[in-house]
Amino acid sequence: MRRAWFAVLLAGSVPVAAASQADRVAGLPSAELLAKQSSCTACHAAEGETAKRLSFDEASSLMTIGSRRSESWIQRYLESPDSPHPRVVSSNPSEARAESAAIANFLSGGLQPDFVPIEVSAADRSMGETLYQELGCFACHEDNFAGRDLAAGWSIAALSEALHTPGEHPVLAGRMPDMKLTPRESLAIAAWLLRDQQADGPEEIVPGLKYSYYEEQNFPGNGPDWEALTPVEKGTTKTVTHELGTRRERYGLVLEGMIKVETAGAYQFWTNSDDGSELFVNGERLVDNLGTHPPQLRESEAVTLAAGWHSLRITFFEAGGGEQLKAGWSGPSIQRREFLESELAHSGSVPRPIDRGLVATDASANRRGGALVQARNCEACHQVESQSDFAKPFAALTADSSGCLDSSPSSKVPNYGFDASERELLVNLLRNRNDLQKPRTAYEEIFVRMNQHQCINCHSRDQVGEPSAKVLASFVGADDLGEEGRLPPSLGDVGAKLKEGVLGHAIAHGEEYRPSVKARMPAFRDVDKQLSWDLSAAFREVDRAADPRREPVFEPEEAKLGHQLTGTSGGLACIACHGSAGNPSVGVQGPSLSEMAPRLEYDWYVRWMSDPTKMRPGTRMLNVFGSGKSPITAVHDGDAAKQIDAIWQYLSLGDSMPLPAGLVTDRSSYELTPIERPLYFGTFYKDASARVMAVGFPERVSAAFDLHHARWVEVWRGDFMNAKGTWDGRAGQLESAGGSGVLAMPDGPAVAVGVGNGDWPAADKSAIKMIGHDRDALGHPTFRYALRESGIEVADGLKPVLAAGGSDLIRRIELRAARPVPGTQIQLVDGAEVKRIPVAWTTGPDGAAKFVVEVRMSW
Amino acid sequence: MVILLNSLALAALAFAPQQAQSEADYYEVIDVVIPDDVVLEVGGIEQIGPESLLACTRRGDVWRIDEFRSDKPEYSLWANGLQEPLGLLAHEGWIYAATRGELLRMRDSNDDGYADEFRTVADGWSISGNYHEYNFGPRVDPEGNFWITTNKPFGGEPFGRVDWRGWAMKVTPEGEMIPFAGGLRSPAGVEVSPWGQPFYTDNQGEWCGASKLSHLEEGDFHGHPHGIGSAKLPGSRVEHPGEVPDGILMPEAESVVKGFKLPAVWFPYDKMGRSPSGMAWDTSGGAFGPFTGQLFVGDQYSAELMRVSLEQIEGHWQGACYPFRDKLGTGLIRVRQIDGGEMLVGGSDRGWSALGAKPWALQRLRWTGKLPFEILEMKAVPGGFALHLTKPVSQAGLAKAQFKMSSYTYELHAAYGSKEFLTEEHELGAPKLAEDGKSIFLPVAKLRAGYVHELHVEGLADTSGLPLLHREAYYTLIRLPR
Repeated sequence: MRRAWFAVLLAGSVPVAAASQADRVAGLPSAELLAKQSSCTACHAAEGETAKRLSFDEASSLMTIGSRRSESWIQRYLESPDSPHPRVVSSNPSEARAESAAIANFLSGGLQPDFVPIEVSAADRSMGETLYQELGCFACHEDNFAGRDLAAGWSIAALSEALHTPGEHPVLAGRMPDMKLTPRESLAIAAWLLRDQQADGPEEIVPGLKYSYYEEQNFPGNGPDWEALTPVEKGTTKTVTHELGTRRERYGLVLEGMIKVETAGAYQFWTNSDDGSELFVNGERLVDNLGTHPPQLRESEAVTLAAGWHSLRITFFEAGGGEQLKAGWSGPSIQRREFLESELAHSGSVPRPIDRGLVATDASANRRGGALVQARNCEACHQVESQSDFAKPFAALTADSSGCLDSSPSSKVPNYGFDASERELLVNLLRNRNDLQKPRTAYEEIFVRMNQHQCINCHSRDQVGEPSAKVLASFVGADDLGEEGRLPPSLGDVGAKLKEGVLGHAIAHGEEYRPSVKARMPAFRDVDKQLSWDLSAAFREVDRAADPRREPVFEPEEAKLGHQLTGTSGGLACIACHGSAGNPSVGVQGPSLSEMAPRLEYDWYVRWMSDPTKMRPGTRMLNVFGSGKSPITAVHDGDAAKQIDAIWQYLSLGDSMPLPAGLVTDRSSYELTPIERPLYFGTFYKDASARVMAVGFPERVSAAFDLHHARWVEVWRGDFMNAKGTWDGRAGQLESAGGSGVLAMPDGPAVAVGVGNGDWPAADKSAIKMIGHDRDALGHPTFRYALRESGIEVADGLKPVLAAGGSDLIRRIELRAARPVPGTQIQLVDGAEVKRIPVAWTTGPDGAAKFVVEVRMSW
Repeated sequence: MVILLNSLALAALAFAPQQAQSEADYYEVIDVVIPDDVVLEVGGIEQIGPESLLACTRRGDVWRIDEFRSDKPEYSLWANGLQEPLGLLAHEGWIYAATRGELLRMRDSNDDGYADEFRTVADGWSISGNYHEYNFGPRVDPEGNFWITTNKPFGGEPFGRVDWRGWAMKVTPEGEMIPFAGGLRSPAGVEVSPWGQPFYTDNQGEWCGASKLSHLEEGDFHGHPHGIGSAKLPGSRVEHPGEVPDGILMPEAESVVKGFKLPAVWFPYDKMGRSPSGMAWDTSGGAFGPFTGQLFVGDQYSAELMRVSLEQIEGHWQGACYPFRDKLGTGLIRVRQIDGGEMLVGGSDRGWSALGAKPWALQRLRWTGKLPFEILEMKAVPGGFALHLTKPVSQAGLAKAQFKMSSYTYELHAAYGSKEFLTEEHELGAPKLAEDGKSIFLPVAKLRAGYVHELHVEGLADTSGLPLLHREAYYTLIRLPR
């Protein structure tokens, strides 16, 4: 990687003119960067701020390299002129070979690299190739791993694990950011990168079972004739599970492989499945759990098995409804449990690292290798704590082309292969080294860090850098959104554009904000904990205006106008390109409306909306306000500034914004999304009862009423509910609030009599009689029930009201009784606080009593 | 040689039209068009205007469907959020629905196209939170009582065991719930007969050896002990039967188990579907073909509509079931007869795979006007069975026919489903043809009370040479005719 960066720098991708100009104003950031990348202070100790600024990535420990790399690989890595490693062996080819062989012999310490057999398919490799392209791996690996010989150096299992958790890998930690790959993605990319490794060896024992996955319209209760069916998918699985393939209805599985018996003796096998399953050992069917049924356990009679491997076959089919497949055994020293991963295997042939062959070494090689490691001071980079006085301190170096900076360095020092301009940069750095005693300026910080962490391989920024033309051409995305739909965004102005926390979060955790851009932003938190803070602060310092516009105060009426403006009825139809709250737009997929206000600085938003073409020439964003006048004249007389503010007010509702008119929700998904009117949903509800009616309002606030106990259970903001548990298969799952910010209503009924200051009673079905509910002209609910003992009739209704940061709910409770009932109280939530309100009855001419209370729930 | 081949070919041609007859020649199936964005897992259907339907769905929606016979019906969402409604009834200005938690009624009082008033009619039972706790109905009898049936849970009960599962409930017009009969298992259809008495269908499984149609009478115990503990609660009209013996033949169960009710019709497994559901009597007076007064029962697995004829013998309703029309769109849940005698069928295959091709469907069955040659009705008579036919046969035609009959019964037991027990072939006497050629008396030796009598007729053709469309009938003989 280090080498790759040099190549970029030398090829002039970092605009030298811009950098030189920057150097004049702010020291020598290019030279500083080169010194960091070259780990100069590993040998030439520095102190104070200089040490901090020139800090470098610690290279991996050499103690354990033998368990990762083969001796032949190490040898070639040191010997090869293409190696990205600074040259530490002689420039004479035959000497270089002998030295490399000696060092490799010493370092490998007689160890063999760890190897976990793992099978891969052509489909894995193909998926890996696609991911490598789509995620943008090529941006940092533009050299295509030149000089690394990946196929000889890595096993698929090791590379896959390293890609999945780079922060835990001895070589990648601190260098490679976390691409947030799933285990499946990591395996696919590893399989692609190591595609030269062939599985042409003899069959061996491979962990996991082979599976075949089938899709059928109908399964007979006694199971299908599996031989007559054609599998849709094949693969391996580490455990016995029903979660293979894609369907969760009308599918079947056959798992095949071996089971390891440690101790000879009597074993009983079982399956627990929904629907049918069978289990065979050594070809004999031991468990018959066929039939269409809910989860059902069937256990075999005891069978006697010798120690060693025995063939295992499990069949499973799921006709409809819930699904489950578990299997296991019991036997000598095994309590009845599921099979462990370590007990399951199959035979297969697996790809192995390519063996390039070893240069013969004599008995003295190991000793000579050890001496060379010491003489070349390898530990300076590879194990910092042992830093020796091998070289002069940084402060004592002479500012000239000597030592490492000599045009042909002696074999006593590492050869970095610096060219003339690089040597000049570093000499210049030494001349101006006093500048390194001050902390970096914000500009320097941006330049050094964006280059050091290769942000510029994907993102451009003036005076810092930009991706190469080849890389730019290779990013994948939605064609119909132009470059904005394909390229990682420019970071020019980013400090003015994004809110502070958002910027820091994006760097630390990565984010996928643009649905059409396939490239994935990695997470840098494990590479450098400080990076997101330092860089976001520097961006903001450089980019933000001295006196940014202030956000307007929230006005619900303005937010309603903004709601209208974004939709299709009397609006600008923003939904043609922008979706909201998880619902896609009706056309191409631009950024989501609900994610804008939480991310963007208001000042930047106003500049952008006022004239997007000026800010980003060639943008696909419609320039509706550029003339100062809006095409929608019915709102604020077409005043552009006022409409831009109205939209901001609406956007500020974030995830709880009512969805714009015209947005189409996906009926085939189970996500319930009210748009024009409230949606109702009758369901089993967790921690309440099996008879709950939930109401979701278009204002993105929701509530659940327990019809069994006649009480509101809870209210929440954001998404309404997901109905999968109630609508998928036989269903019958307990559902819960779909959004966030759940506010639980106090336990017990809303109305109680004769409680005084004592404990509030518990909810009791037998104490109430449900009358029903009404839905008013807007679809807002009022639930009605009577208290059996006192005869009080209760009407308890909710309606939403827009508010800053998300909608509130107005709750209206009306009590009626034939006569006033003394000692009646209501318990409710006012604001976010639980309150008890004494009921002050009013009576009509006929003596009938009435009481009304209205509160606003705001939480 | 050549001549011989030709004559064989001619013989084949002569029979071809007859062999090609299919159910579709007599009963046409027409889809009610469903838009792509409507999930119409039909739980209940009701006609509310000459060209308008209401359909409630398992997802809790109530759709109004206007111009339902056209190529482009208009769908509007009249109500939503009901908890798995599995039946609709339009009655006295309200729309009634049986949901999991309650029998409710609703209406659109301001006529804006959305139901706005929802009222609980009865909710005297509970739900434990198990998916299988469905309620079916409501149907209304001549006195204005509503009939619903409650399904028993099957698996986990997250909110604990609850009362009144597996019951048939009569709800008075005032909303009083009368627990009328118990021991039901999965009572997916309930209907009031033209003579005003309620019947229900049940799905085979534990304690229900074979799917069945049963008459509901006050105090009946239908065999499943799950919810029978509720018989001891106030209001129950059923006396607790005590412990139900596990593994007893059905005919014996009637004398051993207190209150045990034998069915009107058993539907032998896989011969007549697997899971009978909604049903409707043909009261069209001939508009639906020759079967006026008979019952049509849907099956949720086999996506077919079956036919049932009933007669009362010794005070017990019993009769036969016959294949009628298969290859419908999906597993059937509801059957309703609408204007013009059409049968409207709808359903969903969700959760239980069905032989239909679609996940949900709503279809019209229309008689094409062509008279099928069918066993119109199989009736028990002293010494055998009378077979009434839709068309006459000749003596010569009868002579070519072969009749075969076997009988078997089922066991009442805890295990899932029952095989056929004590199967025997019956000796048959010579069939006798009535003068009009449309009735056959089939003498049968040793009729067995409490047994299904399965009849196969081969080679019977009407006077024009047309063979029987369906050649099987299954008579559930509970009482011997005298």
